[in-house]
Amino acid sequence: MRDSLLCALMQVYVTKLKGKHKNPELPAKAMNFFIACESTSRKAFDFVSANMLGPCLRTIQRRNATTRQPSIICISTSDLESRLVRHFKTLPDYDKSTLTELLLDLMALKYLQSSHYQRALVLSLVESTRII
Amino acid sequence: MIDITGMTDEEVKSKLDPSSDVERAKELKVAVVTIQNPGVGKSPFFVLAAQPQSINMVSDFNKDVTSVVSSLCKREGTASLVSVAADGVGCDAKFIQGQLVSFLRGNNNHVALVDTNHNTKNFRYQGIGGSCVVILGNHVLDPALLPLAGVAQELWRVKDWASDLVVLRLSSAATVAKVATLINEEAGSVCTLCVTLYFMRLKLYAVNTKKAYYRDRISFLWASMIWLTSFEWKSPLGTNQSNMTINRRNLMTETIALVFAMARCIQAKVSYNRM
Repeated sequence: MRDSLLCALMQVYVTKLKGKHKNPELPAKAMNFFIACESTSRKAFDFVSANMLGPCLRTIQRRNATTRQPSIICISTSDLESRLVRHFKTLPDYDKSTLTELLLDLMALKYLQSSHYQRALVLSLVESTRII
Repeated sequence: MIDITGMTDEEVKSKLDPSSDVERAKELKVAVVTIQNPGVGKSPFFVLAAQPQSINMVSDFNKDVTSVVSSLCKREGTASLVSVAADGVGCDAKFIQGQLVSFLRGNNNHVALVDTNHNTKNFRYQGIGGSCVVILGNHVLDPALLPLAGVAQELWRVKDWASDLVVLRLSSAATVAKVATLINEEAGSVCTLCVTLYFMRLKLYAVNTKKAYYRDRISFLWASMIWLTSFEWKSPLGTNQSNMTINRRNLMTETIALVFAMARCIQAKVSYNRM
């Protein structure tokens, strides 16, 4: 129970309640929750974060920028291999036999947007996708 | 991607304008790797690569990505590629068939299949979509029985063809129970519709459930395949959309491939063999 998201959110709330600790280190679960919330809907994030004394938008953007990976549409065969190997090595049970499947699916592209990170124009699946 | 380094705000805005001369891709083909038993706290899904393209464009993307993953798994030794799945569009059919034939000849170590959920969703175009008259022996698969039985309209007049939930609700016990109450209708057609819905659900259960034993899964899949590929069809239009040849091909591909994949994944999660 102490490792639950509910407790993590409560910890964030209580830490910032008195206004003394304005920028505390957030529990991983709470941070993941706020990142997921921001990627789903910016408005929802504003609402939730403001009411639960969560991190500001800029904190989330800084965090996302540190973990950003190269675009998946601009990779060569060698990049594909290194990307896959890097992912495999993060798996805790990779030493044991691992079974994998490859899924290939099509998605409709609708919106042309600018990506400040890539310094490029990109096509996105949904209008609300924000590439920063 | 279009490089905008050095462009002014106005130039970027003009490029973003819907009337600009930028040629836009219509689709993004995404390759997702799923890993069985990835460990606690790790997602089984990993987006590996993607390719912007025109609608249903034929390219070597499938072949290239499969070849990279397959050769890497062989080299690493601890990972092995079990299957490659795509949706049922015609542009991927040749690739899927080629890979499956290669597997059956012993040249490949992985099977290739058309995704089960896509197949079941596609079956509705003929089954309840009304694009052709679907016949089983002396009986007709009659979609008009669904509104008569009081089944919710969104299940038989489908708006979201991509939703998995709509298929699950259509082929649910509740729908079959409603249709089975139509005692004043022609008994053969009522039975045909009920059994078809049952087999649609059985097929989805065989692949998506986490609990069934692999022998049961294979039996369910094979039985469903026999029923769902036994229909005849009559269409005054005679177009591709109104016959079930493509459906049959996809159902057969899927079943043959999954029989091997399931036997191989005895201790693992078969339900990850889907999109």
